[in-house]
Amino acid sequence: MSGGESKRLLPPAISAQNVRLTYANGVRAIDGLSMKVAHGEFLAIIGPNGSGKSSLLRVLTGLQPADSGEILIEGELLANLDTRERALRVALVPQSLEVLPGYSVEDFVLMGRYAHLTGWRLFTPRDKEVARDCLGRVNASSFAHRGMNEMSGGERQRVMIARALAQEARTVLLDEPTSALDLAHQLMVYKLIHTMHREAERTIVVVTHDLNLASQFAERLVLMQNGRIAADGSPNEVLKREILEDVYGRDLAYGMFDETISGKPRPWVLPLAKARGKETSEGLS
Amino acid sequence: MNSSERARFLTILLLLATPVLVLCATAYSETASGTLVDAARLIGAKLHLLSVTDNLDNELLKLRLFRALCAAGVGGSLALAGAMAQGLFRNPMAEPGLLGIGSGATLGAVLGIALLGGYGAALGRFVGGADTDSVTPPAGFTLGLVPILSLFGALSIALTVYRLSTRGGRLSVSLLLLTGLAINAIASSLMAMIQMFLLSDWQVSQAIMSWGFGTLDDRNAFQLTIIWSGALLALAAIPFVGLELDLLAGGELDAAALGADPARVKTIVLSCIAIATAASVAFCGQIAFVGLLVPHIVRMLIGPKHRVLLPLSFLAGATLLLSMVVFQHGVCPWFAASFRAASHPSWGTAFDRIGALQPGILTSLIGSPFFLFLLLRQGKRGEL
Repeated sequence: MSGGESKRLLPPAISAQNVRLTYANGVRAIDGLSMKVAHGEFLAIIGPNGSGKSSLLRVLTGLQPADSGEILIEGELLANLDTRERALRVALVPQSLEVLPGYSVEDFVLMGRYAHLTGWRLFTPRDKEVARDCLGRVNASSFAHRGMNEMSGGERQRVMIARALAQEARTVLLDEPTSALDLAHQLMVYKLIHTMHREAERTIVVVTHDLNLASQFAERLVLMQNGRIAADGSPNEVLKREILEDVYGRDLAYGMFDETISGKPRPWVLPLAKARGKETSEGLS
Repeated sequence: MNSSERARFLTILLLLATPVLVLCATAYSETASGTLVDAARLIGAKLHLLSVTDNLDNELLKLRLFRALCAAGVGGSLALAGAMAQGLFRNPMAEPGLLGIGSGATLGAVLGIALLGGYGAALGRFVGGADTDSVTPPAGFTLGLVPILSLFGALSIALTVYRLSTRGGRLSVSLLLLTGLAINAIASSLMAMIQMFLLSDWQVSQAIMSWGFGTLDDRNAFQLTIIWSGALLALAAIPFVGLELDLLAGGELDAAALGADPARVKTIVLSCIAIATAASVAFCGQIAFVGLLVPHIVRMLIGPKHRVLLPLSFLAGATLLLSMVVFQHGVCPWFAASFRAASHPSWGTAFDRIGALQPGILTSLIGSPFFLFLLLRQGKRGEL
C-alpha cells in the first residue's frame, strides 16, 4: 500500500462542525465554524488580530471547550478523549512559555513524552532515546544540558518543536511560532516545520500573521475574520487582492515569488503605506 | 557533582541523620539524660524487637521519643507542604502560612481550645445570647476536638482561597496570594477577638498563646498518629503529582497540552497541603519558616524536579526540627552546665532560656535572616 492510499483511508486529522465559542466578556471568538484538516496536510490559519485564530487552536486541542459544535480528532469525538489520549494524537507548540528556571533542555523535551508514560510514569530508555533523537533533528543536541532560562528566542523555539516531535502525535499545531524572531530565525523555524511535515510525516496546522512564510510553506491557507472562515484554499487562491482587501484594508502590495520550496510560484503580500491621492495605484504588481 | 549526584548524596545523608537524631533526641535531655543505648533499647521495645527494658525511667524516655517523632513528622509535613505549594503556585514565596491555610488551622484550634476550656456556652452567649455559664467542658468533647476543628479550619480556608482565586477555571497566582493575605487578616482578627474575650482566664489564654508559638512537648500516641497520618498521606501522593508539578511549571495550558490533568493535580496537591499542614498545626501550632526555608534550600542543592524535591524536602524538614530538639534539649543544657561549672552563671542561664524557647520562635529567629540572605544572594546573581 502506498503512502497516498493509506492516508486516504484514515479519517481526517481534525474535523470541526459548526463550532461556537463566546467568552465570558461577551466576545464571540468563533462563530459557527466548520473545517476539516486532512491527514498529512500543511495548513496555515491566517487572519487579523482578534479574528479567532488562537481561540480556534485552543478549541481544536481541547484546551478551551467550545460552547457548541462537534470536534473529531482522527475520527474520535474530542469530548470523549481524556487529556492523555488527546495528547497522543495532537501536539501543541505554544506561542511562548513561562520561564522554567532549573530545568535543562533535555528535561524539557522529555516532558513531551508524558502521555506515553505508564505505571509509575518513569522515563524509559526509549523515552530518553526519542528525546535525544528529536533534539538532534532540530540541531539542539549541543545545548541539551543548558538551562531553559538561558536560551535565545530562536533556540527556545527549536526546543519547543523538539518537544512536540518527542510527543509523537500525528498532528502538530503551532501558535505563531515566529512572532518573536528575526528574519533568519523565522526561516529556520519554517524549514524545521517543513522537515517535520515531510520527513516525520506530521500533519501541520500553524497559526501565523506572516502571510509570506505561510504562502511559501503551507499547502492550504484558511483565512479567518470575525470568528468565521473568510477564504479557504491554496495560497494562490487565498492571497488575492479582492479577498485580502476586505480583511486587511487596501494598503497592501502584491507580487509573486518565482519559485518556492514547494517548487511552484507563490504569491507574496506586503503592507505598503501608499502616498496620499494614489490609493488607486496598482502597487508593485 | 551534578544535581542528581547531589540528590543521591543528600538522600543518603538525611536517611542516616534522621534515625541518629531521633536516638539523640530520645537519650539526651535537661533532666535525667539517658544514654544512647537506653534510647535504642526503648525504641527496640516499642517496635517489639526487645521484650523488656530495665529500671530506667521509661515514661520519661517515652515522652522524649514521642517528642522526637513528633518533630520529625511536623518538620517533614511542613516542608513537604511548602514544597508542594511552591510548585503548584509556581512561586518560590508560596507556603501554607502565606496562603491562609495555617491561620485557618490556628483559628480552628483556638476555637477548639476555647471550647475545651468550657467556653462553648459562653461563646454562644457572646454570639447569640445563651444564658448558661458552664465552666466544665461539655460532655463528649475530647482532646480530638482541637485537631478536628483545626483540620476543618485549614480545609475550609484552603477551599475558600482556591475558589476566590479561580476565574473561568484558571487559578490566578497573584489573586491567590492576595486572597490569602486577606483571609489571614480575617482569621487574625477573629483570633484576637476570641483571645480578648478569654483574656481573664489565664489558663486558656496561656494555652492559646503558647500553642500559637508551637510546641513539640507532651505528645501522646493519638497525636502522633494524626500527625504521621497527614504526613504519610502527603508522601503517598508524591508519585501521582511529582512529574505533573514539573509540567505545571510551564503553565496549566501547556501541561494540559502535554496530557496532564491540571485540575486533578491542583485538587490532590491542595488537599495534601491542607491535610498535612492541618495535622501538624493542630497539635504543634505554627512552626514558622520551615515550609518556606527548607524547600528553598533543597531546590538550590538538587534542582526543581519535584519527584526528588518533594521527598527530600520532607526528609530535610524532619532533620531540621529534630536537630532543633537535640540542640535545645541536648546541647543547650550541656552548655549551660559547662558554663556554670566554669563559674559563668549568666551564660548558663542564657543557654537554659534558649533551651526552653518554643521551637517556632527559634526557627523564625534563625530562619528569617537566613532566608533574607538567600534572597539577596539570588537577587545578586539575577536568579530572581
